[in-house]
Amino acid sequence: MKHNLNLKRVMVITLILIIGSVLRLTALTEYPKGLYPQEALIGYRALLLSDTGKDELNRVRPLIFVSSQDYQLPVPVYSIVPFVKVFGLSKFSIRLPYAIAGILSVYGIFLLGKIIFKESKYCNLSYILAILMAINPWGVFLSRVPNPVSFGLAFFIFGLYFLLKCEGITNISYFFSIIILLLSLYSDKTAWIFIFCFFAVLFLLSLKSVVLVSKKKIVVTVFVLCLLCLPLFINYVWLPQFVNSLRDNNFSLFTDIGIPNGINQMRGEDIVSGYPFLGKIFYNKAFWIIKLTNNIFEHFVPRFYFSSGDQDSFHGLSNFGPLFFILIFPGVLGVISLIKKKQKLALFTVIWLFTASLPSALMSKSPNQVYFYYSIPAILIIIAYGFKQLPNKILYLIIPLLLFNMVYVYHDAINKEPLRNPQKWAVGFDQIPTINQDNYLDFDNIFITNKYYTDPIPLYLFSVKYPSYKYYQQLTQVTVAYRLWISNIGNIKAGELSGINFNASERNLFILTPQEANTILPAIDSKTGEPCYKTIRNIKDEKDNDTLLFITNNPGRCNAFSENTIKL
Amino acid sequence: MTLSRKIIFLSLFLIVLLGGILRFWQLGSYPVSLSIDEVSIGYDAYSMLKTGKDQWGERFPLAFRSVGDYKAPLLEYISIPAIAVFGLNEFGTRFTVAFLGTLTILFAFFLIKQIAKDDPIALLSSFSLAISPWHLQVSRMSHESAVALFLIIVGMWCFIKSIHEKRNLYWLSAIVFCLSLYTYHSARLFTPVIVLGLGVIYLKNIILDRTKILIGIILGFVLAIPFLLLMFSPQGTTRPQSIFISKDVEINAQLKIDNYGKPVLTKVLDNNLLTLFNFWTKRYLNYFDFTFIFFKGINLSLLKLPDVGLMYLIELPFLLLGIWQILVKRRILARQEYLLVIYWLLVGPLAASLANNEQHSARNLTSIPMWQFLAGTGLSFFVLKVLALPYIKKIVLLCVTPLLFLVSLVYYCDLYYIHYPIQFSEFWSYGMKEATLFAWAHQSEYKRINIDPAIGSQGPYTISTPHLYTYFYGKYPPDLLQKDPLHSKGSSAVLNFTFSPTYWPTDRYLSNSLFIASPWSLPIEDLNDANVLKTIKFKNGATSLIIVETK
Repeated sequence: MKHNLNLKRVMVITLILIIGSVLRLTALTEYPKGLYPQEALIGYRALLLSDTGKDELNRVRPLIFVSSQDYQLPVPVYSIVPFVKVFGLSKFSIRLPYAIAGILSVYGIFLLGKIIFKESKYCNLSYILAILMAINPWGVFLSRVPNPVSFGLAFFIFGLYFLLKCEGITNISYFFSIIILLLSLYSDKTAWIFIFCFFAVLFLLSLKSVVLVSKKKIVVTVFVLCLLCLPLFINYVWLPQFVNSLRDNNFSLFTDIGIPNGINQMRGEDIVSGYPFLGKIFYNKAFWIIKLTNNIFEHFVPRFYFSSGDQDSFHGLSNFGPLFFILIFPGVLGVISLIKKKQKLALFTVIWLFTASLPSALMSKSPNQVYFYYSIPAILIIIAYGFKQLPNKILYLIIPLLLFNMVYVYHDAINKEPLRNPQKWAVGFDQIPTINQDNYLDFDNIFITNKYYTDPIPLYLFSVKYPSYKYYQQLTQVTVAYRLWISNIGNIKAGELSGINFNASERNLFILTPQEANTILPAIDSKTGEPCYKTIRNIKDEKDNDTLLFITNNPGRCNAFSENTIKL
Repeated sequence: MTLSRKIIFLSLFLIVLLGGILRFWQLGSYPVSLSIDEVSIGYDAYSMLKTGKDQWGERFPLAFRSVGDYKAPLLEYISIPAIAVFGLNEFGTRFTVAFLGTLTILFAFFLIKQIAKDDPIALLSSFSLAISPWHLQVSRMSHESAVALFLIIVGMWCFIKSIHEKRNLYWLSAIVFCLSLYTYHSARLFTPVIVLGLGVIYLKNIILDRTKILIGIILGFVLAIPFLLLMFSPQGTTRPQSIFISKDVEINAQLKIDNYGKPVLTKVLDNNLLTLFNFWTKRYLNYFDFTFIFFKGINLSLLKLPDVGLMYLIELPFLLLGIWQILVKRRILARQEYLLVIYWLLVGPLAASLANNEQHSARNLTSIPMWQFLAGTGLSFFVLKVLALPYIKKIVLLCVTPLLFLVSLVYYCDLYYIHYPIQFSEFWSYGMKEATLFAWAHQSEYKRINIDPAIGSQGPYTISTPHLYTYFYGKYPPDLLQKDPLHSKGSSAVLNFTFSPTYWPTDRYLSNSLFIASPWSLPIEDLNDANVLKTIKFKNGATSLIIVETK
């Protein structure tokens, strides 16, 4: 009997994992459509690492990588290398490890649920947690894009699971927990803020009845983690402009110039109106705390979860919230029931949510669905608990509605979402390398603007699978710098048109937006009166508008374009 | 906790007095100018007082044409006495709403007392309403939402009092509810929905009191007939149609899905109704956004700073305590009242969420009694707990808490009386009063006086209604306006006043004319040959209007 029950449970969790896998792996290269420049960069870097063991700056297996946005941590980057080695450089091989991390999160949350809901009457909740994690659009989306937070969360969930599972600090589970939590910290900078804050608050509020973690264990864990992270932290602080990196990408709230300017204006208005005292009392540095409070609050509004999210197409589906709308009912019921019946668990989820909101709240643009991703287990605990409280009649109503909601969201994700932000996802970029490859030798310089596709060179390198030996031959930039752009490779340059000088006597191909093209197209040869530039090809979007124009110049006489006309 | 009648009366008196002071203090001067709607309401009321017809010559209309938006009529009618007493000016125009806003505090006490059966909760809820930035904002201007709220609260009170005390006030409840239908567009949706909810929640009591209620229903139905007829006419549908959620720019383009010939699954999953519903959920949930409620709901500053929400930040812990007590612990309220509170909280933002604004505090005003009730309940619970504390702690908390409320109120006043006028004066058509008074003072000296409708310091994008300001501040006889054959055809020109965009390259050659326009229409560098008589500034120092004459 017990054997049958166990088999049944194994089958259920297997089924859930299959559902999670299907949602994460099906058409992985097709959705999201296009290729995010950062995705291309880490993909191409993985190719270089797998071929030569060196990164794009010719450094041998570095611990921290550079990109045009921020420094990148090692675990997600090195995780891709074996996949690129096996499957070759493709969208699939880059996205697959992240999808696997997402699938593992489903299982991890199931295990975590078993620890948190250990009482027998709640034993089914871990299955509800797992299925919610398997199907929710937030998790599915972030598992299908190369975002380090997917790794960070997966490792954190398993790390926490082993930490809660073990008693004491001298057993194998504890060893696992430290290693896995460490991997989380080596994956994602957001985890630095979240994990340490999480343990700090857990230390301050003793919650032994929910989580079997003694204060001593927390202190030891944090100490060991700090110690083992030292190589990473030391490497990081040695990097150029590491303060800027932290400030821009993790604490941008404090660089928001709008606040000090606002404070000054309000004080000025109070002085002019004859109430300088009020100005001093109300408009001062305390506003940063209020702004931070405001930002934290932004994470606890139903609209954010169930309806709109942060509306960033890199962070989730831009037409929906990170959770299905219908889950608002078990969500609200879960909050009320938890507070009413399981106050310690409620406090535990509040701590989790609060600390998970900090990385996002410390940014000037808040909430940020990616930075807040570590909250998802806590949110699903609340919803799962709400499901448990639902009367059967309501449950029979909610489940079909949830299914419909799910089909509706994913139908939109497949059919409409790719049309919403094609430019951000560099949809259509593959036409540029195709044309360039065919005409590469016919031009002395090829210039690609970054006004339409940001960071085009990594996209180019990825798209043409640029050979690694050739890359290193042509490498000019070898200095580590914060927000480093790869601005040229061979005779291909990228950037802003105004920032690059071209020799008019050379054969140049410009790939520009129509707005930029207007600045050079009117140029006329003063002797012949002929135009000096000619548009020879264009790329259109799905609405048939020109997005990029291929423009050539005439190095000799302006009236003869034939010698460097593009091959179509 | 039971309080003696004297204490209740005295406390209530002080709360209403405080609410009255906050609503009437410098009422004519703050907001800094009458808004477009206010001058229209004021002048229509004046027109009704003088002629029994609105400015367009319509006798006792059910929808005031105004500037083409066909306003709900009640505010215009009930503004007549104040205009008659105080005259056609800012105070006279705003008096009625401020007065009803003050009375709302009193009736909120009565209503919450009926719901919670607890005097301290009712007192503290009405205190919360008295100082509420949300309610103060709409009570200090001639805004229909405050009147609708007053009527809804009175209607609810009459109904619940009738249920609880076996009194027959159903007829009064029906009258007041029906009047709210003639007050504000949000109430036109909210009132039937809340009345329906009352019917379901109190069904048992209604069956017991059926004969009394029947009279109310019949009365209500009779009073609602003109409203129903109106809602099927263009006058009734113009405004709702123009502000309906589907007109929102964010969604409008997406609502052109043509599924003809597409598979059934596509028709089911991708249609206009579902798209609109998905969009509406965003709008609806916006009204449960804590940052809207506590940080930016009122929007008194243009700067990127934490603002004032619908409630003070200090009320947050009390609101949470109230939610804990009422919704989680389910203390204080009986089952029916518990359901009523939840229902009211849920349907309160319904009308607002169906309009084309992201978040609109005035359209959502129908929710306010329940939010203040929750905060009042939390405050009452807190006070009871504090009173049970040791002496020193008790004294400290009883001093600190009112102090924090006082600081919050002063902060609001600082924003409202100092910063809001400076940063928002141009959105209130500031300068129109001074300009039109100047024009009236020199009206006989010119062949033509033209006032440009476009104003604004950032660009000529803000459109005002200079003709209404001219009628209003000139107290132009409404009968003359109504008799003007051109006016009935839509012309706003009267005497030698015209109200068209100024085009200075040609207008500069018109002789003996006075032009009042923004610097966008009258560029200062082109005014060499004109005599600049006056420059009117916004409160932020930017030029609002320039008055020039041509010889």
